[in-house]
Amino acid sequence: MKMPLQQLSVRGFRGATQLVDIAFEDKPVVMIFGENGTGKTTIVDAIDFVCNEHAGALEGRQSTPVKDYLPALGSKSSELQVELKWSSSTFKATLLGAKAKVVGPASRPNAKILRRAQILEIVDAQPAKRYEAFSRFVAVPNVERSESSLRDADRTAKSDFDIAAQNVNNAREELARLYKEAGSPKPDLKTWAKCKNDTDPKDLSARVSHIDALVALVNSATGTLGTLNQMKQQASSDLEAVQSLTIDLQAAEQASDEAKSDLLTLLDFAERYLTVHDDAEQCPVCEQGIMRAQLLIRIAARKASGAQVAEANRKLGLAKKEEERAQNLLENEEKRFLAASAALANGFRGSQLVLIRNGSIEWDRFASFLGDQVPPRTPESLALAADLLARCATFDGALRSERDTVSKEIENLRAIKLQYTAALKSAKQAKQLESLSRRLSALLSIVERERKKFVDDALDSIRKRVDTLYSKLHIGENIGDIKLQLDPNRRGSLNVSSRFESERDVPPQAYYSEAHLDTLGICIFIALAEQDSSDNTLLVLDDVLTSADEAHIQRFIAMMHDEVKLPVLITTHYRPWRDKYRYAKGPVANVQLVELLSWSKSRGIRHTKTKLEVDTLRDLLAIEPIDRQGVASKSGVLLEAALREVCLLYRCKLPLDPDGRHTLGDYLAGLDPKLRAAMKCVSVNQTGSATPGPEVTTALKQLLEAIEATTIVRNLVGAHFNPQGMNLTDGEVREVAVATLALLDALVCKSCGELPRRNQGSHFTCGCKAQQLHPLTIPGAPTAQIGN
Amino acid sequence: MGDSPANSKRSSDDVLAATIADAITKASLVSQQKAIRLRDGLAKGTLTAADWKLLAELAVSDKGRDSL
Repeated sequence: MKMPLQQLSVRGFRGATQLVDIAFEDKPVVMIFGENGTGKTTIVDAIDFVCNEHAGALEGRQSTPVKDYLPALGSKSSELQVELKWSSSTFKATLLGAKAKVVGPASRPNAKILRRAQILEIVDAQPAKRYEAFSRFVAVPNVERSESSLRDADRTAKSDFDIAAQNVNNAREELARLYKEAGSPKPDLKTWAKCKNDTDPKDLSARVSHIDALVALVNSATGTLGTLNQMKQQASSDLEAVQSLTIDLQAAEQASDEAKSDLLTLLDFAERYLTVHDDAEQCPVCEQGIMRAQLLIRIAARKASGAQVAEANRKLGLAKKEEERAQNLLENEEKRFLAASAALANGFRGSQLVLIRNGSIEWDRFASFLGDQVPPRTPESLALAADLLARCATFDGALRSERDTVSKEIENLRAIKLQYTAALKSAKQAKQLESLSRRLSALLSIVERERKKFVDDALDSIRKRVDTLYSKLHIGENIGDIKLQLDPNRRGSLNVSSRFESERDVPPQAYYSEAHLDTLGICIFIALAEQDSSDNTLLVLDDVLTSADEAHIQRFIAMMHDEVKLPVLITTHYRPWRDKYRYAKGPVANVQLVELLSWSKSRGIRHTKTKLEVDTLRDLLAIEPIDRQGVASKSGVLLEAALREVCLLYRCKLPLDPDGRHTLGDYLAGLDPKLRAAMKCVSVNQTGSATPGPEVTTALKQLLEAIEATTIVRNLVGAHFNPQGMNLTDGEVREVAVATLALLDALVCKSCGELPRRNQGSHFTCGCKAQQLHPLTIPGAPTAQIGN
Repeated sequence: MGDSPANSKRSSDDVLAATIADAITKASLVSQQKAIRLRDGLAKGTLTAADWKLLAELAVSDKGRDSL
């Protein structure tokens, strides 16, 4: 694996008051070591800025606006620039307002950055918050939205089917009721209902109309007869009035001569004549002389005495007119009655109703009423008509009953047709809806199954990875078995459980130590980053490991190099981590060690390449005049570090020291003679091809003897001030360094820079397996002393 | 600050939508042609209840018989 990150140049950004330029080597891991306040976070923030357009630690803080505090102290925001070279591409980020403006190719590096503060958030966060971190891999909101629509469609189809089925049942029940009411005719309900449905109700309707027409004819004739009878009474009454008034007039006339009607008329004419001819002096009739004035007074007196006769005469005149009118009306009504009777006769005669046909009307008697003609208005005809009406009227009750029966039959028929049609229609609908519902259910089943499988697979993939990584860190500690499960009762909620001692499925937050939770958070983050990784992903771990014992640091290093397949940039202030590499306890050849120096505003962030202890010794050896104490001391430290590792591998017997401090002599004495004789290193040249290159075997016995021979020189010159050391020559001091370097060159892998310390069953190897250390155990050692 | 740069990887919705569309096609519930529209609708979350109903109805008419 290569490191695509080639160079990072930072100017005017956070702690970078001066230009910081870091060139990266082609090694998969970069470790930037620096004590607190040397600029580690500035470097990580710069990567975050150019890759993710995030403001690092300032992101989202109200109290420290990005545009004010992202630029370095004393720098303008316009001077801020972060340049990152990634493979063959260059990306430049500047600050535009409060936002990053990045210029470069579209495919920007995907920096996955884990900061110290985030670790516990991953593990200890609320399940909903934790879900957010996983949601990119397990959340499928769009599919879930479509699935919800499908569920609605399925529910609606089922509901529609239930309604249609209910409608079928209701219609069938109603048909059954009607069938029972109809007396359950043979052969069965279905046949009966179909037959009824096929029946045309027009005939029945026509029967009702016919009955209504007959009843109407009877009613019409009856009404006409009633009117006729009233008119007869009226005419009779009017005739009686005329007769009575005639008698009255005769009586009035008898009571006064003047009252005779013709005399009164004569007096009227005389009065009018005398009034007009005011000069008349004689009667125009008898030609006798008259006294005109006296005569007029006399005429008036005579007329007054005949007024009763006049009134009686007037009333009689009026009565005669009324009587004449009544007679006319009576004649008309008699004609109408005869016409109504003729219609009645024709209606009843032509009726096909059984009850009419079987009736006892002697139609011969009423022949004059049949056909188009109306009988003449004679008392005989009128009497015959009244008789006809009386006979027809006897059918009224039967006709009304018949009409009610037929009407009910029509009503029943309509109800049967309605229910029969509804049953057929609903049954068809139900069948279609059932088919639709089954298809929708099948679709929903697939969508649900695939969605659950997708989420389960995604979580399981992450879980397995987390578990793998975590198990590498905590071997034999009775913790792990990480489980990630969506809360079935809460949407967007993710639970983490694990094993603690014999208890399974317990929340790690409840039982794990802070260090164990830290490593769990880191493993989850790495697993998520890998899940989301692409060709241009960079994993950045910003000061995530603050304190850990030697075993855990060693495992963490092994995990990073053996398991993580992404290029990694690590920042740390934890010196033991860095020194593991410096003393070849990790594959230092695969790590670029960068060391940050102390920061000041004027000098900004400064860095240097971390020198390995063995390289420091080589440099010391090259200096003239020789630094005797430096060479001897450095050799001793290197030897103690290497031999301590060897003694640990073979579980060599050493003097018990409560603080675990041992001298070079202790380590050398602990190496059993049988072991020394058997110890050898085998280097396999890495050719890059499938077949390994030639092996180089180096026996360690002689090298250890050489070390043992020079131990006194190291003690006299390199440990304390000792006058005896002055007697030793520079050459003798150099021999210490040469022997040390010879042993280390034989032990440490030339490919990865790591001591062979991994148990391979028959020997130990380094991380890249190019270097082997034999044997695996001390020859002839007791079982208790064997193991790694 | 702005969002992270767009990642060219397919989203979970896209991946799952394709899987579901394949499964539904294999179950002969929709034709290949309709499966493409189904996949896109699933991935975008735009399928409504009416769309599903139509899809199921068309499947019935496409097959000409109820094979479920």
